[in-house]
Amino acid sequence: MPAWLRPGRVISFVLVNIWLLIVIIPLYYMILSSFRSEDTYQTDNQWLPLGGLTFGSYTKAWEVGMAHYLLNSVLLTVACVVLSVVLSLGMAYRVVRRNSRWVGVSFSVILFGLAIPVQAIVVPLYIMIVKMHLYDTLYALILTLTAAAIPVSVLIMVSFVRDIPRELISAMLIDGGTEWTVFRQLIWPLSRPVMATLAIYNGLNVWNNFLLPLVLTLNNSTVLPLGLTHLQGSFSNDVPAVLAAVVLSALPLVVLFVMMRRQVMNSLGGIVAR
Amino acid sequence: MRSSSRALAAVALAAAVATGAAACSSSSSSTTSSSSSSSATSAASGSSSAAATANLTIWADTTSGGTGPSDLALKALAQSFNASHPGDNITVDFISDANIKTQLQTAMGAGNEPPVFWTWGGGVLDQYIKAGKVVPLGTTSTATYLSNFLPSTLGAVTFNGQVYGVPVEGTQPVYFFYNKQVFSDNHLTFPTTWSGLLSTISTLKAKGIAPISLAEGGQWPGLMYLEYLTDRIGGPSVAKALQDNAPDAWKNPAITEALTDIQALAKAGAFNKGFDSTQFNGQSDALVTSGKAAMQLMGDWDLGSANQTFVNAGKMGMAAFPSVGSGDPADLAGNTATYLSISTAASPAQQAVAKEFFSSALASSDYAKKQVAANEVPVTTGADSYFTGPLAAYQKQIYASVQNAPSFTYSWDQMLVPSLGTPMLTNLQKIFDQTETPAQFEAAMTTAAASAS
Amino acid sequence: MTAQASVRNATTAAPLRPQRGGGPALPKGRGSGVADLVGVIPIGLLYVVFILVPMVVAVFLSFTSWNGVGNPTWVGFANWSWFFHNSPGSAISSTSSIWLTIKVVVLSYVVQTPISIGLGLFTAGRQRYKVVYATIFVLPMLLSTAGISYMWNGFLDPNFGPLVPLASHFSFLNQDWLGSSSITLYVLVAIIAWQFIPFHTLLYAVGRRQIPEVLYEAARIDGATPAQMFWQVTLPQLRYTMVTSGILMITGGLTYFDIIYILTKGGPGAATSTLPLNMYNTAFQQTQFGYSSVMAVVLGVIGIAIAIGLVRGTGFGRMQSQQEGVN
Repeated sequence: MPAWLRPGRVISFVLVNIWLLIVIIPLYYMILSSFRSEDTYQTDNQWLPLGGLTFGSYTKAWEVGMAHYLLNSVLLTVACVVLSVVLSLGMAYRVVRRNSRWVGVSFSVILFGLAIPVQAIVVPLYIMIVKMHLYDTLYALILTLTAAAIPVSVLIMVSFVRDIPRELISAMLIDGGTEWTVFRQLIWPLSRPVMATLAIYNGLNVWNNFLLPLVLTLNNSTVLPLGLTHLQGSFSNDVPAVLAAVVLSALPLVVLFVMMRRQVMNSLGGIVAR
Repeated sequence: MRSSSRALAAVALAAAVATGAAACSSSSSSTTSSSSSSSATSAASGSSSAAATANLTIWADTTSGGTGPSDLALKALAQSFNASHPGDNITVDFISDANIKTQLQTAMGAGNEPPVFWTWGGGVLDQYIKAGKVVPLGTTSTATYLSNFLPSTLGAVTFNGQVYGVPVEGTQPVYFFYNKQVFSDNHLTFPTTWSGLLSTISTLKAKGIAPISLAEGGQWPGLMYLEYLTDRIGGPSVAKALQDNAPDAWKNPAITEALTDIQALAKAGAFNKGFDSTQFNGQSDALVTSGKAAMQLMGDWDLGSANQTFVNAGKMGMAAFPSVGSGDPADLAGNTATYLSISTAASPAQQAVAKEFFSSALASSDYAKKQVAANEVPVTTGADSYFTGPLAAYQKQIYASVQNAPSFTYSWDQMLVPSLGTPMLTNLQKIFDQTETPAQFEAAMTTAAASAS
Repeated sequence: MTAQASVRNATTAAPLRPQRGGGPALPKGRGSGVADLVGVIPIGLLYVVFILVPMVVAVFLSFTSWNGVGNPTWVGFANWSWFFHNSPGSAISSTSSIWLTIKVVVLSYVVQTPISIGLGLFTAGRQRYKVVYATIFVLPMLLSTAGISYMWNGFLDPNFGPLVPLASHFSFLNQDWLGSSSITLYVLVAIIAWQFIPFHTLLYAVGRRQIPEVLYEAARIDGATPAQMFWQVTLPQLRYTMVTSGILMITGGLTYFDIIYILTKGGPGAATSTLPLNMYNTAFQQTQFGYSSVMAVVLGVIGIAIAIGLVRGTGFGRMQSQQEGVN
């Protein structure tokens, strides 16, 4: 039988498309509903774009102050991603080089942090942040969220850097390179794929983070997830407005993804996407 | 080689820009808006001289992002106070209802609390008082403006004879709010007895209408049933015993009967489908206003939160909880009011200004009028003469029932300390879910009460 | 010779995974002392100040009784005894929250791993049409946790959601998805999977791309079937990806909080109160910071034990036990 009709292929094709539907359907619902208004949401058909469609919910969501939340979220994410990726790559290089014992010990200590739950340290963190006069500033979030990302980042970086063949490193050292030049000219360029993956992972965790902004910020440095909660409020059931806000909050990432798709695809190991 | 150093430079630049922008954003925003910490420290660090003027911030609760009618009324009050008291600047920071308790709690824990803050009185305020964080305001004799408020409404903020807070939002007793159309279509009048309620429920069920809309997803709406049933069956002394943490207070037979009734109601399908995930964010209101459900037991804020067209057209009925057993059907349960208190972290100047605000602004008839316009029922004496407008009938009814109520039991989850109130709500939800028996509930609550702080 | 070219040469000439251990130690390059300091101190400082110190404070708090206001009172082991006697008086028993946590972690792993592997292998393929699929699969990652929660909250609403009109034809859709003490936990596991499968799919796609084609060529020449190639080439080569993905899933699942908090707050009753939810509610709703710190320490210890176990047991730690310098 032809290759594409083999049972394995058919099954996997069906399964992949089921997943496609699972991803698309709620997103479709959300986007469609964001174009309704609070009154028509309950009466109009929820699956088909019939009836009045309006931008009203988007203006409502925007007027609540989404621009400010968006800006804070973007700044926070960029700062945390850059710091965590660069610092953890540096550390991973030293860990893998194993030139001193204390570096390895530090690595073990940092790995402990993988399992420390943020909830456990939230109250002590709050007290510290207040005493440092950093309450309700983006610095508080940048420092704490970067610190929270360190264990995972170092883990991922070490597992990648370890795979870089020793021969390359010894070749450069023999040629008279310093540790710094090995890092800059070998490790850094080779690590682009993992830096991209880690940037995505940490970026998303920081973007999403809810608990630390809840406890460490008030009004000035509110970030997007908390802003969405403010909009949801206790007594408002304006589902279209909430969904419109969710869509708006996703736009920066969508734009970023569209712009960086080539790099992201490249980092997925070498295809040149369109 | 070149590309990697360019990449490095780009990364460094991005980091610099990001942290620089973060610094600009946070510092500029903290200078343009008065966050509580900055104004507290600036005012506390030796601000005003003899004239006792001060800047202070009030942390207030909002359920509509600071733009609802009640929020605007408070804001307007602060602005007119600032206008008539040159040198004073009172700002109101609105914090969403879902977060305010947590934020105030963490602020208190770290010594970062605002000069004036919102509470529901009761157990939480008592915790703050015991930790020395709240300024006493006096008694009705020493601070005469306090007698402008209906006496029953100061109970939640009176401890050891001293008053520690002043009402800021109107009184909020709990009633049944029902869709008049649904009742008349089915030839029903609102029942005044428990058996009447049960038969009304079965009639409605037969017609495919959810008899009662319940937002148990938030856990606190279910509490209203427990409060009223207990009060009607056993009188207000039952709740009083809980508040005083009397031995075996939770094992009172009135409570057992109330829990059994609740469980039976839930099992008989008296509540809307999915009541455990329905939140009080408009969903439960929408069920009533759309006719899918007939009634909802809710605080009188529901008049402001339900669809305003519906309410202003007089389509929302309001009825007292039916009589059950020997309890007085004129007894009320609910929030006697919500309150503002002054924290001891405020500077002396700030405290003086705050007290001035309480006595001249919050206790004034001007504020009462603003509250009436925001559809609240103020608790200042004589407020009943201000009720005009579309909701006047409701407001007059509420005000009269508060004035005449033999007892007004404060919402248990506010009255009790949180270490007791929170397990109570969770255990109660389990009762609604049929995953716990009344006996288990009482045993669990007795154990919790034994070690509550 | 560029770095990429030398990697290719090294990979084709040398065994496919670089040597671990054995061989002469690599010399220290010049400036290694400074490099160690620069590489480790800043990151170490951040970590110690904002992660370790607070954890120590949390341990301290677990021996106190504190309601968040005023000063903590020392109570010795009373809180610990309370916890290990199944937390009497609490509406959320310690055994139920631990059991729920385990359930969430295990179910998440069992659900997310096969799907992520499958999708990862699919999207790793180089056909043009797969780019479309890969792009769509990434979409959930563009939403914040709060966004995902509110989307599903609206979608699954039992009174006004889009499933309600369909429920008249398909009665199994007529569920209280987010308010049932029996099914809500599984609904949450599914939503969490919806959120995280895209990320793990990426991990596996990257891992698949790193497997050199020569292995598949060789297998094909040897006459292997696709199934055999999967079990004997793909999976073994994906081992390190599976370990990384597994560690992230398990440690992430142990401490997972956000979606559960926004959608159910641990309810109804205690049906979805995992240990992190229990800890949060005990601290910020019940204002019992002593009790919640006990839960925090327990969670931390379990997590640390699992993390160490996974790292050691899967060979990550082999690098640490080496005598000579490597790479």
